[in-house]
Order: sequence, then structure tokens, then C-alpha cells
Amino acid sequence: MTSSFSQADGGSDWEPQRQVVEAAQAGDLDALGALYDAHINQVYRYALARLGNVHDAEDVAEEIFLKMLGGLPNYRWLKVPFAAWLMRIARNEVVSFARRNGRRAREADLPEEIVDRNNNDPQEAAEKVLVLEDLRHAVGLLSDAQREVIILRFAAGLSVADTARSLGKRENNVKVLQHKGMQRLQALMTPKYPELARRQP
Amino acid sequence: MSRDRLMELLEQCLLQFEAGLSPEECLAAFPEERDLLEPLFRQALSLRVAFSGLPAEGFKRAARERTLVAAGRDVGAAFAAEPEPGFAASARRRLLNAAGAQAQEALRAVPPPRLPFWVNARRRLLEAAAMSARPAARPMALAFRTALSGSVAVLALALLALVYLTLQNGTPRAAADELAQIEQELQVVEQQASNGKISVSVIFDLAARTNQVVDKFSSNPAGAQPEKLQEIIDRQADLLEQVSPEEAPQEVAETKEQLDEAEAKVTSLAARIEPTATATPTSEPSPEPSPSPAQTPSPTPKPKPLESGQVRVSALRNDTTLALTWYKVETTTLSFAIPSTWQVAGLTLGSGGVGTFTSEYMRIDGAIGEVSVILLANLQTGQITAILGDDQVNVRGGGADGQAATLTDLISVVGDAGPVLFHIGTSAAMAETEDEEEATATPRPSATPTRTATPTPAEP
Repeated sequence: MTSSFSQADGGSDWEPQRQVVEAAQAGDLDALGALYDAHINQVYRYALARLGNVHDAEDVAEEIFLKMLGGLPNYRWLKVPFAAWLMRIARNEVVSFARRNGRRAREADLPEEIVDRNNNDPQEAAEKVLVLEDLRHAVGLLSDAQREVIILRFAAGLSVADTARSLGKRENNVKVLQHKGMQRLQALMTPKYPELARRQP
Repeated sequence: MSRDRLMELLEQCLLQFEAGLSPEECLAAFPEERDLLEPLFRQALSLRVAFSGLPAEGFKRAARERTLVAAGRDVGAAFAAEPEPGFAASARRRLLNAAGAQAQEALRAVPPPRLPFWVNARRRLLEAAAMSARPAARPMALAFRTALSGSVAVLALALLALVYLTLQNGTPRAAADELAQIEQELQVVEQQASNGKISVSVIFDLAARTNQVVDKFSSNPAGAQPEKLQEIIDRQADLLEQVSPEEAPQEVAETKEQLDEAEAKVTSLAARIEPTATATPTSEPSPEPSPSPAQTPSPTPKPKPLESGQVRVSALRNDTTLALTWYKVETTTLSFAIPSTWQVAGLTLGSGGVGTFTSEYMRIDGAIGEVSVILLANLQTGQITAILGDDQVNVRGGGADGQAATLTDLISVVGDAGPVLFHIGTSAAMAETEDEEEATATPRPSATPTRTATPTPAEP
């Protein structure tokens, strides 16, 4: 479920997920462990994208799972994916953390594994890193609603439908916000990197 | 092209990319829309890369442990309710009364036994004899003899029953079990007493049962622990002192009597056991000491090896650390000691003290003094964590070479409960496996005690 678009959008294979969630609700620690393993990357990426700081992201990610424990008995299985419910908790927790600590998102260094990926050419790798950093900076310049949709879609890997459920919006609304957000990103990035707007050779 | 259509194509491209196609292959499927689609698609992929950071492994593992520990604590709190001792005692009394009443009702419904034919024949013979001109005293003597023979039979039966009961109750195992049960109940009563709830009848019940256990040990001292018995008597005496004598003077006096009696018996028992227990070896020990059944343990059969998913709980007879009785909990991967009054949650033991347990985490419930303890053991990594109220402490780190927390560290976090946890941590050992080298090569979390309230910052 972590960042898989196909899985997030599929929705055909509900039963195993449902069984794990119900076992976790009954206090089965193995099932809770499985839920944690399935969603930690997703939750962490979301928190990191929103807070821009590894330490804050770790604190909040852990807090999100503790909140999940508290809310789990009240979670009702109505074909709403667990991930959408969890990301709703994540959103609230991030907002509450930022308010509590008086923080806004900060720029964090890109993780090593991204920097080192495909680094055959050091020059090219460095340029890619710059582009990605600028892109994340540009996401921070979007409106709150657009940013939230972009982060849920591309950092947490939720489908359009799950993003809509998580935000309590209609799918159409999410599509519009995503489109506008991406257009705005293009507008912000193109002056600096005109090649991004062009068709690749 | 409409916005909806463009978003739909973007979604399809992302799905195809997820399925393993290259960006070029994804875009090639939509040649007419490519000009509009490609910048968006490439931007979406860039966004995914830009936000693809993964949490550090150390953080993931530590946060997972803490989350599961928190989950275990919630479950523990939900099941921690105990009935008041007063209620328990009164319910016990009502139950026993009801059982007695039902037995009486049942007996009343049973018709009197039909006498065997020869009894009537004998009676008729005697009556016939009485009709003859015999002296009146003669039938009286016969009747007396009949009653006498009946009494002898009843007496014999009673003697048999007495011998049977003595043999049954006199086994050391039964006495030890009863003592463990008394201690467990005593712990609950002490806990309630600390909250100001105390009942004389409950203490009387415990004292009387302790007295009986001492009797059993007196008749068969094998396995008797006079210090333990004395400790339990002292604890009951301490409880009794908290009761106002005016409240129930008769019961208080009777309870005190029971305890004094039990104490005297324990002193005598200790005197009987002491010489054999503290026997010092002679300066020149005989090369082949003659085995005596009381002192030389019979060779115990080697326990059957456990299979995966099995747990064995066995008594550690030689372990009297902190004057407690200890049990060994053993799986194919991990073994450790726990106080005998602690319980492994969800485990039912079968023959040989072996039960089935398939979960990765084992939860053990117990108490140290008045503090409830939940022990969580990760059977895969060997990490053991204890939760005492709001405090959480790592008792042993994970891995085959996992370190037990030091006594100083434990005491600094959990105070008086530290020594018990220290013994659990130092007793823990992981079974040697073929791929042990691989297991030890991966770094494991250390067993530095930490409080839940102030979680240690995870390594970046």
C-alpha cells in the first residue's frame, strides 16, 4: 500500500486487509505489527514532505501510530481503505505538531539514496538533485489545498479516490486541485528549467 | 483535451509505470496526447522521486517496538480490573453455602436405601426368638453386637478414607501449588489493603489454608521452604495488624491463633530441615558418597526437545534469587526466568508443562510488590521489555548477544522492581542457531532503559 498507485487504486482485494485490521482491533500484536510495516514508509514520507525535517518527521510518524492505536477500536470497515483513515490521522497530527511547535515546513536535504541513484555522471546527478530540491521548494509555494493533494498523491502514494476520502472531498475536486497544482508547479519550474516543459528527445 | 481526460491519462501512465513499463513505453500509448501529457507525467515522476525518502531502519525498528509495547499496555490496562477482596470472600462463602444446600436437597430427594433381605430375615429370627421364653436381655446383646459390627465397618471405611486423603494431600506438589495459590491471593489482598480495603474473613481464610499447607509440609518435608512459609505468615500478620481489633474481635483473635500455630510449626519444620540443608562437607570426602533418597536428586529425564511454536514452563528448583520461586519459560529461540506467580498470556500448558504459542511476541503478566508488570518478549529477536505503570524499560536487548540492562540502570528507572527485572534479563538466553553469525552481524537495539514519557530521539 505504501507508494503503489496500482494497489491504492485497486480495491479488489479487500479481504486480507480487512482481516488484518480486525485482528489488530482485537489486540493481536502481530497484526498491529503488520499494519505498522505496511504503512510506516507512507506515513513517514507524508510527514517528511509536510514538515521537511527528518527528526520532526520521525517524531510525528511515531505519534501517528500511537494515535492510530487509540482510534483503532472506533475504526469501522466500510470499504474505506485503512490507508485513507490513517492519513486523516496523519494530517491532523502534522497540523497539530506544526501548531504546537510553531513551525513551518523547512527544506530538508534529499536522502542519500536519492542523491546516489543513477549517479553515473556526477555532474548530471548534482543537477538532478538541484531540480528535485527546487521542485520540493515549489510544492511549498502551492496553496494549502493543492499542496495537500500533491503530497498525498505523490509522497503518500494514495489514489485519487483515497485522497478524496482522506481529505473529505469529492474525487472531482481532488482532480481539479491536482491539475491546478501541477500546472502551477510547471509555471514555477519552467523559467529555471525550460527543458522540463519540452518533450524529451 | 479536457482536464478530466488529461488526469485520467496521467493516472493510466502512472499505473503502467508501476506495472514496470518505462516512461517512454507509457507515453507511446498516447501519441496524440503526448505533447500535453509528457510534461505532467515527467513532473509526477519527479515529484515521486522528490518525496521518496525512507525512514532510517533504526528508527523504524525502535518505533515499531514502542508502538507494540504501547498496544500491549493498553490491552493490559483493559484486563487489569480485580474484584474487591471483600466481594470475592463473600462470593466464595455464598458459593460454598449454595453447594452445601444443593447437596442437602439432593440427599433429601434420594429414597432411603432398601435394606438387604437378610437384615429382615435376621430381624424376624430375632423377633421369633424373642417370642420364646428366653430372657429379655438376650436380644439386647444380639442387637448390640449387630450395631458393633456395623460400627467396625464404618470405622474401617473412615480409616481408609483418612489414609487416602493423607496420601493425596501429603504430596509435596499439591502443597507447593496450594502455597503458590495462597501467595497469589495474598498479593491481591495486599494490593487492596494499600487502597484501604481489607477484610478479616479473607485473612482468616488465608491463614487457615496456610496452616494446612504447613501441616502438609510437616508430614512430608520434601520441597518445603520454611523461609518462604515464614514470609507468607509474616505478610498475613502485617495485614492483620491493619485491622482494627474492635471491628471483629473474635475473628481477629482466631486469625492470630492460626498464624501463631502456623509459625510454631514452621519453626519446627525449619529445625528438621536445617541440618540436612546446611550440612558441611567433611575435609576428606569419601570418593563415593552413599546416595540418600532425601538429598541426592534422582537423575531427571532429559526434557524432550521443543518444536517450533512450542513453549515449556518448568520450575527452576535451584533458583531462589530474591527469595522467590522462579519458573523457566523456554521456546525454541529464547528462554528466560520469571517469578512463579507470573502468567504467560494466552498460553495453556499441557502435559510436561508444554503449550503452543505461535505469536512473535509473548506477554507475561505479573506483579512486583504492589506494582503490576507486563513483560513483552520478542521471541524472534530476544528483546525483552517491561512496563510498570507509566514506565517502560528494556530488560534485555535483541540478538543472540543481546545485553541485559544493568542493575543500576534498572533501579534508576523502576526503583525497587529493578532486581527482579535484572534477574529476568540476565537469565535470558537465545538458542544457538545455525545462522547465528548472520543474526549477530546485524546491529540490534541496546538494552538501555528508557521511559515511555520521554522517548529517546531516534538516530537520524
